[in-house]
Amino acid sequence: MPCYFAIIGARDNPIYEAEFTSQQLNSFPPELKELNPFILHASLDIIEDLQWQVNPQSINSGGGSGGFLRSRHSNNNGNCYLGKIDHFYGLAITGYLSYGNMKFVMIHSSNGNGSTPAQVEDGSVKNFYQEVHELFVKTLMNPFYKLNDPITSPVFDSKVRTLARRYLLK
Amino acid sequence: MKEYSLLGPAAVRTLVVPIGQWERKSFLKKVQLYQERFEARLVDITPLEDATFNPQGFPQGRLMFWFHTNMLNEEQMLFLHDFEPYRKTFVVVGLVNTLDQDPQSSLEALQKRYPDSISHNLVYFGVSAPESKNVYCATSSNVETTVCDIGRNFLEALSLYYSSYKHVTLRSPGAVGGASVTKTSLMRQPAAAPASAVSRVASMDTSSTSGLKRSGSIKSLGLNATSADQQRAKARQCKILANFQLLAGRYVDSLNNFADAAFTLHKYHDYIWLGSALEGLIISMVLLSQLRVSFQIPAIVSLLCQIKDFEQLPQATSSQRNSLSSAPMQSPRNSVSSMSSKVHTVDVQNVALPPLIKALSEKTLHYYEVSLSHNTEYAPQVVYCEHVLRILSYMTSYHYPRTSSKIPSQSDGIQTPRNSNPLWTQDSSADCFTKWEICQFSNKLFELQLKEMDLVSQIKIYTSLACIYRDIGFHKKQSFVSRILLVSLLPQLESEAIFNFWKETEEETLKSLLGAYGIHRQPETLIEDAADCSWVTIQKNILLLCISMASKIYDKQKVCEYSLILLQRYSHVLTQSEQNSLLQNNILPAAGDTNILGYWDPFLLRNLQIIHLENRREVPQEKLIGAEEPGETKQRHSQVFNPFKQNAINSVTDQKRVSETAKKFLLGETAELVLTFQNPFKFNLEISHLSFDADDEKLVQFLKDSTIRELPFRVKANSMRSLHLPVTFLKETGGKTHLLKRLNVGVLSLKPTSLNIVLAENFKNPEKHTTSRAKLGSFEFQVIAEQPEIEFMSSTLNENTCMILDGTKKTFEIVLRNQSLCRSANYLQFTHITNVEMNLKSDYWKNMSPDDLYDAEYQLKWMQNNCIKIRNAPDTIPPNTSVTLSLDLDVTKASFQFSKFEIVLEYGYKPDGTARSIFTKTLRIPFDVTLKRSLEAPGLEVIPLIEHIRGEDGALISTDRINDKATSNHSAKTGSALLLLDIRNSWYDGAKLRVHFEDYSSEEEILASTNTKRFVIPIKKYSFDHDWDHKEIPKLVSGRQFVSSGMAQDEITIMRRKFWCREAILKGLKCDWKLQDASQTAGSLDFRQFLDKFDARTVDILYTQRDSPFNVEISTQRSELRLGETLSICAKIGFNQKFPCSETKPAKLEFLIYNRRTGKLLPRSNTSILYNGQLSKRIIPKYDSEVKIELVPIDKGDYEVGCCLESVFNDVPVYFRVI
Repeated sequence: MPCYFAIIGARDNPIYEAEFTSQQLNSFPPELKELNPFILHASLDIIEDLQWQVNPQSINSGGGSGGFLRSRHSNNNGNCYLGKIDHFYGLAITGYLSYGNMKFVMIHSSNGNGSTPAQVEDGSVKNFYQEVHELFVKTLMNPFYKLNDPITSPVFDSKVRTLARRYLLK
Repeated sequence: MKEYSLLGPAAVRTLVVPIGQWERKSFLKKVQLYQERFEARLVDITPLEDATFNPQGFPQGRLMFWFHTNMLNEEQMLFLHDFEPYRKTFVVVGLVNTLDQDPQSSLEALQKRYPDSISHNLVYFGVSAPESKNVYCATSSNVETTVCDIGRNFLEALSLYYSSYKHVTLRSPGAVGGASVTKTSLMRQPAAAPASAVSRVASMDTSSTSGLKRSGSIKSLGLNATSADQQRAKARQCKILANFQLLAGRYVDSLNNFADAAFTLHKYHDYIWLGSALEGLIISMVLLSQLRVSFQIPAIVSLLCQIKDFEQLPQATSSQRNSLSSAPMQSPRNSVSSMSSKVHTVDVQNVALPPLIKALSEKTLHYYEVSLSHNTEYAPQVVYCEHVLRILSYMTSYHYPRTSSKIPSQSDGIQTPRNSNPLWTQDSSADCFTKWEICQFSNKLFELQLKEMDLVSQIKIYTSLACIYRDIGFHKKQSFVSRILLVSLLPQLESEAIFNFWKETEEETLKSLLGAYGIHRQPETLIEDAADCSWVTIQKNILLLCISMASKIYDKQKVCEYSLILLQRYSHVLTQSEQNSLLQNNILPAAGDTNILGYWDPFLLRNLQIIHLENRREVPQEKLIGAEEPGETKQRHSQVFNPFKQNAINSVTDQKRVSETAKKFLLGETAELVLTFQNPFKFNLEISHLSFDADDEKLVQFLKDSTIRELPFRVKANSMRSLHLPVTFLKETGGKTHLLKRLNVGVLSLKPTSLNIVLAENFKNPEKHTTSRAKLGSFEFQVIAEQPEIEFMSSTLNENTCMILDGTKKTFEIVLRNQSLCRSANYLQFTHITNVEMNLKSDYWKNMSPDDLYDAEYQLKWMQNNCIKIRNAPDTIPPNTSVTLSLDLDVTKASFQFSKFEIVLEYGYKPDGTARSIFTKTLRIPFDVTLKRSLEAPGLEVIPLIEHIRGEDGALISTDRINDKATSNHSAKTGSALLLLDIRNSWYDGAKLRVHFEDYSSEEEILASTNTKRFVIPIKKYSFDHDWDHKEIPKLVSGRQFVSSGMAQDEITIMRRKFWCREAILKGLKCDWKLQDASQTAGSLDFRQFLDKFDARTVDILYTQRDSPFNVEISTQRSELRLGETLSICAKIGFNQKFPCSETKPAKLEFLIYNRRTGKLLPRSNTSILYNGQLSKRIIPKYDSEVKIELVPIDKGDYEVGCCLESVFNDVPVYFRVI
């Protein structure tokens, strides 16, 4: 299933965008390709809403471990992954929020022609996000990189794509 | 009221139409008056006879009107009128402001015009009409009354209308509309009918047939349920009735009827009607709870939903509910309570209503979905969507957390009566929906194929959805929905209704959309925005959409505006064809029409400067001529030899000052304007117009037609290009500098705009608080008046070259002319410079010893002051006149390197005496000189003069005068010496010469060409009194610091002795010569250049200076003896007064015998001279004042005897000859 992934900075600017497709799988149809950024942009509203939730009740999908804001008694630190936050026609949108307010968002498309809604495997998607987050933290440590600037490093790109192949395009 | 408020089905659609002469604005104001008072309490309405809709039946109830002014899409929704009767426009109200027509005929006309509506009313404004039924006069206070009256009319008409429904078989919308109805199309698989629920209801129904007592209203239908179809039809009738009761404000009745209908419909699997009934149920419940009327949750609700989930403790809400004015309503269905053992019925106080509503709504949607499997009995998409939207709008008004500023009535868009309480209040946070829930619910719409619906519905759905997102603060979602709407609207804008609708709302919609996606930023002018990066793909997409939307409605202005934004801020993500089409199709046509649009890129002009033409005449330099500091100015500007001159030019500060000064142009001069344009776009730009600002235009102007010839000037895509244009200067700046900061530039067919010169872009830097976007440049210049122009015309020297013999002088003439026709040159400064000075390094003096330096500088100074002299320098040269100057060229002491020189004339026009500064020009006249050697002095030698020589044969010293001179002036102290001077004639002609030394003068000699002659000149030795040891070598140039020769004291002393000896000789030595040629060229010989520094021996002879305490004089009686004779030599030891000796140490005295012919020292034992004893003796100088030695020569020859005491030699040796 093709995916569209983006890291969104604090000013709602994309600092990294990528489309994950593989040869045997279909890529996004052109009209959807154009729409993808809009869908992502729209779901930022939901992330911004979820990021202030303390109690986990509102997040229904299985991956989320609760509100992004942790309660004092919780030791769980897996709450960056927000799970499936939105959907638009057949597309599912998952989100991940770093503590530095970087939003990792991805559109998952279904395998087929769009008639069946996309399924999200929370476990692997969560792993993907966590590893990308790690890569992002490494990028941040680069003294020449300024927060909220687009990431242009080809190494970062290739590493993210490798992760995508491992976790998403199975 | 908003399109999809939850209470929409309870509102009476009322069309308000203008009759008479209305202005749109005032009409809408009146309509708004009614919209604000849309509610009529049933208590206030006069009772009716008909029981079904009698307002007295439920006095708490309200009649809600939904006043609107258009009937868009009414026709298309006709097929739903049986299913959801509230869609019909029941009431028409005509607002009249003239009395042109009889009220009754107006009313009839209204009825004729709107035959479908059941109640027609007229309201007169401003004029008094006879009031009758359905005709009212509006005053400021009776709006509520009028609304109540209209309400009564409606209720009357409704009972009539309903009676017609009683015997109609109600068909589903799918059956009525046929194939044209858009079926709900879900992305996912629609739900299937739940089997368990059916059985549960069915089982309940069997038990209830005995116990359930039908309400009066159902009975009045007079239907007996026999078959399933009949039961179904009956239930449908029941639902319709409930719908009408909802409209009529009888909410309790409607609640019960909806419940009944739902019950039956559920049993007979009539899912679409069941869904609709459930929706009605929801609305009834909400309305009742708003009115604070207590009721019991109908049994069917408990059956469909697990009501226990929504129960809450009575205490929690009891305090709130206590305030209810009305007593709890007794449910007419007494039998229900009997069922409580089986079916859980709950009082409304004990239930959290909002979650229950949501659960019910999900059930409703579920049944709508189930109905989709049926051929005709399916739920149309409109119904499905509208239900979702209604629940959404309900949820929105209940969302949590909510900003306090939003009161519920505003957020759900309901028209609120001014005095009424808000319809519902927020109970507690537990009852509320989170934004997340609302959003999830709204996503149900995105499972539908909305694009299959008709356009009006789409618009309504999308706009409602956008409003909902707006209300919960999801602006990105809102923008997204707006964008989807626009995209779906785009291909259908041809339709006239949509076209007009869009035209009204276009600007606002697009504006908000641009704002939401951050397109309002101005990176071209604001530095903050330039530093930010944003999502350009989205922004570009939105702008392209806006452009196509605007172009659909032929709004050229907007198209141009958006295209400009796109081109200005997003050119980096546009392709070449996109940029081209934006420019050619969108911007230029609009610009051509209005001619107000200028070029959009403020960074077009990257550089501007005016440069002098290559063939220009010299531009005068400003020069201070203040009387206060003449010395300073003279030194700075004249070409006098100045060791600091070069330094000053090379120093950093001075250079900076030079570069900062403004360029100067002469009045009327033609210069070249260089403009650099930048084109960041992917299309070619054409510069079509260029002009100076009004201020600049007074001073500088394009040369006639030059712009016409060069323009249009094409700047290729993504490049920078320079344009060269001739300009001329019109006016003096009067001593001030003028700044050229901007230029009017017209690009393509756009209006010329004034553009700044942009040197570089500024970037945001937190340390620097710059707010300007770019670093701006300017060009500084001065225009000065016409100046005199002096030219060199001719000289008497052929081609300005001359050959001159070293040591001679020459006179020549030059002619200068002032070419200016009006300005006289009255400031003239003549100087000259030779190649010797020009080639001098600035630090030539650094590594030179003081004596060399003195020589060099002595010569330079002479060259400066004496080499070239102007005899008749004029004070002024009038315009258009010539002057002749006589110059003397003197090379008597010139350096051998002298090969060229320049006469430098600095001149200008001095307006009057008061001017502090003038403009000067410099005229340089170069001359070449070839210096030829004439007489030279290749050598000089000094020998001490010994008296023995006197008697010798004077082959060399032929005259007695030498002896006379030497002896007569001989001072006992110093003694004499002979100066042997060689003079050579290097010229082709013979020369007569005479050498002088002080008062001695030699005979005139003739020296043939290329011959050398030695002159013997008797001189005195120099006395010890001169004290040259302590006389410093003079410095000709003062002011040099930190010059240390690094020499020891004795080295300095030696140097001083040598220097002063040489100076003394040079001072006295002179030589005049005259060639034996036709012109009798005469000259003099400058010895300074020829004579080397003196060696130690010469100095010793000339300036006897003993540093040891002793001197030895040796003497002998004879200077000639025969072989075998004895010669006694006596060495007398004397004391030096300068170094008095107190020592008594023994010293060694040694006699040295030389062969005079060979000059070689004879060894101690030899075959030439015998001596008695030893040649060296130890003596104590203080006591032994004389030492004698006797020699016997045994070989013929000339011998010389010297003496050495403590390695100090004696001055004068003794010579003897052995015959």
